[in-house]
Amino acid sequence: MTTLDTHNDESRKPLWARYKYGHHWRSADEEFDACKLGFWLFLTTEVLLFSGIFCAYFIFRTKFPDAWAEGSRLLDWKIGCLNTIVLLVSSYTMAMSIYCMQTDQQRRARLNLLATFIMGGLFVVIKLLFEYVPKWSGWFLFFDPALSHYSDNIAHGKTMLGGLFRYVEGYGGKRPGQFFDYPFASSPNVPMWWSVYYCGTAIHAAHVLIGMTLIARVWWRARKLHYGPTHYTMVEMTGLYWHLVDLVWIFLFPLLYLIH
Amino acid sequence: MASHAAHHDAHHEGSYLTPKGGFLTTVIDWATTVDHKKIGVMYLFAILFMFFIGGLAAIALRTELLEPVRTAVDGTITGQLFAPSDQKSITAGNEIYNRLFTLHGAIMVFMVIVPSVPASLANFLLPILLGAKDVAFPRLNLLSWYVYVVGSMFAVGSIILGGVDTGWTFYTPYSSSWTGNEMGRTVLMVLGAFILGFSSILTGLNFVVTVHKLRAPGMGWFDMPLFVWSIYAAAIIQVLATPVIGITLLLLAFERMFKIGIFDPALGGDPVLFQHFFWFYSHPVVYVMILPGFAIVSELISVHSHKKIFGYRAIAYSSLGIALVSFIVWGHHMFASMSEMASTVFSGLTFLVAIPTAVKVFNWIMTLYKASISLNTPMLYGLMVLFLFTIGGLTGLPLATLSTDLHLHDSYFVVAHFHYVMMGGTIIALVGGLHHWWPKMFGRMYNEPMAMLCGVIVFIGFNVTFFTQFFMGSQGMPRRYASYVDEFQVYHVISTIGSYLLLLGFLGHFFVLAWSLAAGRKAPQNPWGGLTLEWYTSSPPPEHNFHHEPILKHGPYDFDTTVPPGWDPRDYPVPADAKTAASH
Amino acid sequence: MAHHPPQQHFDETDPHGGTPHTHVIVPPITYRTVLAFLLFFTLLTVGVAQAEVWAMGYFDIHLPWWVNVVGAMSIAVVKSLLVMAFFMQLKYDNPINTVAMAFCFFGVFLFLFFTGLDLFTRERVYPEKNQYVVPGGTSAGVASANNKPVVVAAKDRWLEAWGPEQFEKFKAGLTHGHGHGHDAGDHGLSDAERARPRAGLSDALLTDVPHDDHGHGDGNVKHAAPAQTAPASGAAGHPAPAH
Repeated sequence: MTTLDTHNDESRKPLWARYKYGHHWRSADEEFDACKLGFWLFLTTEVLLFSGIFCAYFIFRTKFPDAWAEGSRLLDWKIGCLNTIVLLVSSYTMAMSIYCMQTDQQRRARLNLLATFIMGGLFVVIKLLFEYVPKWSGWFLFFDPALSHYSDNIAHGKTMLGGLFRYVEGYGGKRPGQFFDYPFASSPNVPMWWSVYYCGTAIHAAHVLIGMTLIARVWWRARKLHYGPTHYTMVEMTGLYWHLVDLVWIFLFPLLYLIH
Repeated sequence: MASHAAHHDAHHEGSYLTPKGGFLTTVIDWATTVDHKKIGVMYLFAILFMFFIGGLAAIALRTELLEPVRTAVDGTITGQLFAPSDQKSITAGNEIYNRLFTLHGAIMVFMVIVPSVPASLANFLLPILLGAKDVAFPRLNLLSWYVYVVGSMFAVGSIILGGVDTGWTFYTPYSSSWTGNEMGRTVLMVLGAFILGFSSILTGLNFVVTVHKLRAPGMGWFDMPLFVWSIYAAAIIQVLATPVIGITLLLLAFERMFKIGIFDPALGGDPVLFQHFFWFYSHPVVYVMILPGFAIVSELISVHSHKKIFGYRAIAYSSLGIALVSFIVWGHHMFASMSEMASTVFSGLTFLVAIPTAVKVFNWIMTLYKASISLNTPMLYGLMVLFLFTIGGLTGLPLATLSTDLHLHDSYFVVAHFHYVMMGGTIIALVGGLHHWWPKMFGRMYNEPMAMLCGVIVFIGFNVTFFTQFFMGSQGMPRRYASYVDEFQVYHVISTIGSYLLLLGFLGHFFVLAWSLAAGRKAPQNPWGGLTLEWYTSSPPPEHNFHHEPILKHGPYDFDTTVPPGWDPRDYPVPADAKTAASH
Repeated sequence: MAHHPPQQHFDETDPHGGTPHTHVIVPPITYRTVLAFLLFFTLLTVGVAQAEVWAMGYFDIHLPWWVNVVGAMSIAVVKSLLVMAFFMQLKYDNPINTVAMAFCFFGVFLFLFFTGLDLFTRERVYPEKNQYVVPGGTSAGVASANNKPVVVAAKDRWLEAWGPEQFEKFKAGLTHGHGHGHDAGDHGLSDAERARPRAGLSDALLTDVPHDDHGHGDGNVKHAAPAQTAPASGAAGHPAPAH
């Protein structure tokens, strides 16, 4: 090949094919394996970060079982189940996007990434709208399935945004710790339950948002064909992070919603 | 920092220190470098600077402790060092004292000792020792440096705003209680420590992957220098333990800001839970501090006694053993707060950690046996570590014993113990390693007799300062007290004089090393006759670490069969009876 | 820089090191199967939890509390293993990744185990200690042979040895200005002790241990608040009921 031919060949290759691995590595595969090991080590740090929340849950649950039973009953398992399904499906689409990268189906890969991102957003939105907002304020979305339990308490006429939100008398106030002002609690330690609940889910939601940022970045670069069968390290790492987020929720869900 | 006189060695390329252009270009080059050597040097200077700040706080503390409480001749109380004599000011003076020891502790632990050897010396040396061109993730290395800078700025910001007085351990409920205007500073400091934790995690992660993946061809696990083994063990601890302090500090910040109640008894929480969370990290982290010190000692002792290290595998395995056991002993910081059953269990487990540590110390001593020791500054420091760390370790035993610890807890005995292990172990090892690898890192030899003198001053000062504190502590002098009963004044005065000596010694070292940078003799490739891979490259090394890809032909400590590369016996003679291979 | 051909090096923990290999491409059918299992397990765990509630409400069957916990946790563990093995591809990877994660989970277990060891055994060894709170403490937990609080036992021993008149005489000599803070005339106090107000010092440290009043006529002794004497005497005689 003459120099001229090589030059033309090179510039017609997509970005991912032109990727040069770090000069301190002996091969691209070695770099990929090392990145994977490094990222798994980072994932262990994330697991240990959440272990603090799990430890607090474990300790206080054993000390205040009645508060835990009461608090857990005030959570709607249907919403939690919905969130779990959303995250599991998003994990699947994330894994599929990696498969598509590996087989150079760029468009399908980007669609899967987009689906993952949207489902992550859906998770956060469901959590905010159906869980956090009603518990702080008492205001429910009009189609919230939990409303059926409170038909007697729905203050007549007390709606917001043309009926989009409805107010339930006495429901709200389930706030963490010192700010707990829910009048119908019977166990004196229920504020502790709410603290653990909010800390756990809030830190998890923060990780969901971080994961969504990573996915967005990867999706953006994928539009310019940065990733492909021989170079998809960043997609793999983002996938691992997203699966970890799902993993944590797999443990949080039964602990918070199902075990009374 | 980088503006040394550019020197090109005989080869075609300059060293990593060679400036690439004018002043601005050089600054930008260093600020955006992914070269582990430059990052290591930047860390080194930052750590030395923070050590100086923390040390100044310590000198202020010790000066304050010269007097139990100042009294004038006629018996009126004239107050303490920091405040005039009225009651309100004495209280204010105590506040200042509390802030100072918090500052000393927080800076020394989070900003100096934990990153000290891993981020500076190990960053520089690990890839070279493995025969690699860089660490596994060079850009992550740079990120960890900037995270360190940002975290330090948070902490310093907190100090500038008036400081935190909770002690570096941030024990609840004091640190989590709702006192309005203190909140900002505590949250700042806590967030600073949180960020610094990330710097530590990224460094540890980098090292673990480097050791797994970037060894030179032919270098198996048991061909690595022992320096690498200990750094690897420390890196594992960094990765596994640091996130727990992250969540701890995060929960403390939430407790402070949102009053969530996890550590508040009024809401059903448990202040001792904070101590569990805190010490689950902070105990393994003391092994992150000391294992790199051990790493350095292994090298110093074997190279300067020109003898194969005794019990290579034992030292390697004991490093991992220390890392493992370090995770199950944290309760010994909390004997006074825990249940009897947990205290008993932890006390028993804590004795376990002495075993791998003792294995190492015995192996080093056996290395010295019948060796031909060159007593130069690095060797002196290596021997100092052996001596000081042994005292520190042995005094840890009465602290591990539950019954005696209940009396010694929070006394000066504890203070003396941890200074012996942390300072006498890690900092002394760092200084020794600095002198050992200074020629390699900067290409200059320092003035040996002056450095030796400073080392002797440091040794004397250190022992005068901290040995007296054992006596004070066992007689009941509590720690973190600004004023005390008269009986202890003698000890405090002696201790303070020792601390001034320490300051003198360290300042002397600073000047000797700075002078060497300006006007020291150019260093040869291998001044000490070492056999590990860093001595196969020039002093200082080129940008890619090696001029020629290293090919291993011998083990790292085969002094009896291998001629050290690039070593000139006329330049640096080895004792005549050394069992080293003849050079010619 | 000379280029060397890739060399064989001996790394027991890194089977792929150096020699090129193709990445494992997991077929989508595997992913779909795993997803199906995960959704099934989710519905199963929700179903079990709801079944327990339903059984309790409809049939009034009270299952032991651990049934739901063990069931839900084991299903969660199975789900997480599926996610880790297939979605995160641990099954197809270098085993070192699995080892790292295993160490991590072991670390979490150690953390929870030892913290629980402390938090849940607080009441265990000396049950008397947890019955009441007296400011300054009473050393009640350190029982002597007579099962009395140690301060009471010491006083009784002294009384036995020297008699009550000596007791009053010695006590008067020791404690003038009794029961209140420190006067300037107190001997034996150093500057440091006089330097600041003794905030936090409870009166109880300066008085007798509260105990059942057998008419020890300690005239100007301030007793601790009466509300605390009753449980104190109760504890001295009887061990606390089981937790």
